[in-house]
Amino acid sequence: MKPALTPEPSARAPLLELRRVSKRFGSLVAVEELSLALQPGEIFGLLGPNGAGKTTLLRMSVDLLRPDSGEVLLLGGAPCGEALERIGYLPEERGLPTRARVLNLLTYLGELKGMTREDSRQQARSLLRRMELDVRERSRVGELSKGNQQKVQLASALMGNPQVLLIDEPFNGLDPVNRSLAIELLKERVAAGKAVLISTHQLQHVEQLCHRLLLLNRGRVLLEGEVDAVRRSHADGSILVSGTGDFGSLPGVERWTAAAQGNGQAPIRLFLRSGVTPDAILQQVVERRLSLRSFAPHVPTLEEIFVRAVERARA
Amino acid sequence: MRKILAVARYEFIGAITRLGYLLTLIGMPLFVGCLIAVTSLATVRSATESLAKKRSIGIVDESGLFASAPDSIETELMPDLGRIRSADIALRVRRTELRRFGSLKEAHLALQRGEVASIIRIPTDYLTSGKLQEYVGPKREFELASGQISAGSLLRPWLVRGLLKGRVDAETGDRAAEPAKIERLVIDPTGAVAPADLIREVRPLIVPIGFAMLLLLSVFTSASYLATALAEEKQNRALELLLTSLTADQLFWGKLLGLWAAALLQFVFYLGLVAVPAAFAFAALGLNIAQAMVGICYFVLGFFFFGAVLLTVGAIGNTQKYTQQLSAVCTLTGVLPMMVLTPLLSQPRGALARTLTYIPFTAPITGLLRFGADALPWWEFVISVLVLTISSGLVIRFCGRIFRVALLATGTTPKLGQLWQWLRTG
Repeated sequence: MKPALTPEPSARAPLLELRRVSKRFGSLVAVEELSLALQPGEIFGLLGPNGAGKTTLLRMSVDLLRPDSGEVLLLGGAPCGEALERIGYLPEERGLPTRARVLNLLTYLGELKGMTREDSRQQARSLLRRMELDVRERSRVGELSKGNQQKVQLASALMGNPQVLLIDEPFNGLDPVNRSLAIELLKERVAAGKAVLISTHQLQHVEQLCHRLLLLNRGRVLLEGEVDAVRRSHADGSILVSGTGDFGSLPGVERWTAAAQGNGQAPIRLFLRSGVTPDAILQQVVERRLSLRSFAPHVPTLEEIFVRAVERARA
Repeated sequence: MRKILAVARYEFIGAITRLGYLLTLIGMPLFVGCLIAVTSLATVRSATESLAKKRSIGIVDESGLFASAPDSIETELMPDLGRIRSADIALRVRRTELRRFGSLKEAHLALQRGEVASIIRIPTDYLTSGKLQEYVGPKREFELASGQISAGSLLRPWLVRGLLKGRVDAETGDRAAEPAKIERLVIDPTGAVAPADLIREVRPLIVPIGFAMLLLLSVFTSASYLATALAEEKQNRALELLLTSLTADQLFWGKLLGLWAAALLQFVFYLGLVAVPAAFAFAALGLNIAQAMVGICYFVLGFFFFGAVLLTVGAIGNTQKYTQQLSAVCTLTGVLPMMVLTPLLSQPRGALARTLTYIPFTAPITGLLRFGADALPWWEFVISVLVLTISSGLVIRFCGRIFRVALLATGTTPKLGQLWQWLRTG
């Protein structure tokens, strides 16, 4: 379930703001005139096909790359010095020094975030305990399984209790149990007023977790807004119906998918003629006394929207 | 500064807990000690055994020229060693019996029975031809070829004495057999004359060579390790994570200081393990403050210079293999003075020595060696240190620029043009 927005995002200043930023690599436009504002207490989904400019955007947010034009504001100021200490960053192509011992590495990363050695070690232990990795705190990173290394990576991003988390594909390599644990950890941060920016291809996570999203393609914004609003706005007026009876022959139904004869199992998607409303169809179902189990407007999945939007942009 | 120290401490602990570092730290003195002991023992033993085998040599004198020559030879073994251990006469002099045979056949039988180590046949025409024949048993050819003491060389003084016996007086015969024992004398700048002493000549070079070896060891082990570790961090993007918390400059300085601390520990360890006990045991080594100061000065500057260069190599390299190759090229330039040690020490004020003193890559080792050879005037030392300081500063500055840009550059290995661009934009 999507975490509640705490507090109301618009009520506070954005923690991370990109104002019309552009970045080119030679003739390649990585990001063009992009604006984004990450509010406290929200999870923001950054979507886009490979090469869309997501990594460039994340790198500009943490000052690993400087934009050619536009402005990046982190906690209201330039992304440098102490502001960067309050960022948790998890790059996509990630790796940790394989020789390093887990606890020592996390303590070190905490120190780099401005924590004292003692506080950092304490927080590292606490995170490892939470991630059920406390028994491996003396292990070298290279000795851990891929999933456990991924958990250490996530812990490294959480060190220093950052205000803003920028994470690229955070659930890669995690089994369902550990994925739930990771989601829980992120939700806790959001509940405490932190902001999370997730870049991912796993769109079901965006639907589950994110309040808002931004879809990029070739450095340009294709879509943005609240996840539910985006989905609703891409609805085509079709209806999902499940029940028993000949739904396909109802007046006003132009075409349908799956079997026209409802057998009470999988829902049927009914595409309506122009000007016909779902209410009119429901009226006919009642009049014909068809057995109806469910009746709802079809809202497209993010995956459908993503594929459609990218294909349209490429065309 | 706090972050630099955090990086330095992390890198330091990472470096000194590395198996390779520990093996080098503890294993190197053991290895060098064992190597010296084994080779010294082997040399003494080989010579002793070679002589021992020749305790008895068969002589077939067909010429009749040596009928009244002595029946034994005394050989002085390793006179220098003998001087140090003068009490150990057994090591110093070996006696070889010469057993005469009436015929070659008789001698061959004795050789087969192992009664003699070899046979020397002196033919009838020896006086005109000067040729002798040495007969040895099977599987002894290699021993002869390897240059171990041959019966022929052992017999040379005996032959001379034999030939001259009765023709000249004994004293002249001795001189002809052993014409000269040259005593080298050294006249110092004050005009005082003293016997040449190899140990005294080498003594001033011990500390500089020690420093030079330490510098090379540190550069070869710690700095090269850091370069490849950095390439690995870059390759697996761990650096990207670090660079969100600190600047490239902080990372650069932290790594350099951590590396330097690891090298310093190595240095102090060897100093404690080797130099201090050696100084107590051999007060005659003549360790002095000036040598130590010059050594430390070159060590510190040299290490910063090579450390900065190798860190940049690590930042540029996109694979560990490429980084190792590039590191090897850089460190080899540092070893260059050791490769030309003989011409350098034979002409420490020559053009080669002077040139190498002013090139940053070769300055530390060359300066140390020349100082040890008492051939580094103070003004050359100052220039050399200045060159090294300025070039270290420039390298740190420019390498820092490349480092900043190169850290995030992945994919193909950069070409010179790209490096130049990074240098300008970094």
